[in-house]
Amino acid sequence: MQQEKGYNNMACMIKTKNRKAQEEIVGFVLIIVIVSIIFMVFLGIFLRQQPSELQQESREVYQFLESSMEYTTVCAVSYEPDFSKLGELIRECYSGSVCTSGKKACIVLNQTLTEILDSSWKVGPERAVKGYEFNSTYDTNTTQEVLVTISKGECSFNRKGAEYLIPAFPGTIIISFDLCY
Amino acid sequence: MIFYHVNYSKGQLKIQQMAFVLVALMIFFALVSLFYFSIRVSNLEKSAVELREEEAKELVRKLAASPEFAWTATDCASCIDLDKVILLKNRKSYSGFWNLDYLAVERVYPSKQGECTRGSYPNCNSITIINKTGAFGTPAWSYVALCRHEFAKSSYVRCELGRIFAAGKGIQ
Repeated sequence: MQQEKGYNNMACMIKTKNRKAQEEIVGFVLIIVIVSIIFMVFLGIFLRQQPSELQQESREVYQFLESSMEYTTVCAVSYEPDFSKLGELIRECYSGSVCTSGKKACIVLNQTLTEILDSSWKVGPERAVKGYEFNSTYDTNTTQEVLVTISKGECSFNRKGAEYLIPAFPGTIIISFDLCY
Repeated sequence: MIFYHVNYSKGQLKIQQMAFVLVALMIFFALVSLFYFSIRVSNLEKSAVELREEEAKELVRKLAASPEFAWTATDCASCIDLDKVILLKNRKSYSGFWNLDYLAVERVYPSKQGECTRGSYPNCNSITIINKTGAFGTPAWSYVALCRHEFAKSSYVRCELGRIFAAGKGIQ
């Protein structure tokens, strides 16, 4: 009887040991699962965040603006052949000037700008540059007037652009051009 | 004695379990940090490449401002004298002046066709000053204004949009 008791005790101990080992393993696995779940939750939150608009200053775009503002247009406001540069034509457009050919400065400006932008920047959904936005505003301390806006393609979050300033007393003409990626 | 032996084994087992958990956690965090740093390093490489490209573009721009190219009739930092450039083409005295394998000027707007010669100028599209070898890779370029004196009805200055391309040790 005593031997039987002894055997029963041992069997009980072995069973308890095995159960404890299983419990330890379950606990270990539970820790790993909890840590993984927390990690996945943080990853999900991080990936779901709306990407903020990324605007980068671009030397290339600034050089493009600086060079294109020197382009000699076909519009002469005072006399031929005193043709206006593109930068001057924007000022003339703000003043409502008319070219000696009879066309309005703003019409020549829009036409010329569109052609220059089309020649210089190839955009499209299959290209590296998805779109562009060209804006020209006349800015004084109190007012801001949009002169020209030309856009093509699709613009979203990732942009690279620059601004070019043309003095036009009493304000400034701000030309901004953004390439969209 | 058996009880003492069992307790001692239990303690060892607990320590072993703790060690395994710690090792597993360390491996996990090592993998996460490896993943994170590989992304950071690739972003850094991208920034380095972009900076090198910007630097090359600035060097090309500086070339455009040199006395051999600069437009001096008016105050214009981004203007090139196209009349000077066509005279530089095929000029042997300038063959080794720039430490470059490729140097060319191209009209962007309004675009025309063909390489410029003394006969076709200015109704042409590009002027190649240096073209030593075909294997110079992608040249660095920069936007410039191409200015010249026009004598159609009377003399006036005409500027157009163009690009200057350069490749070689002088630009690296």
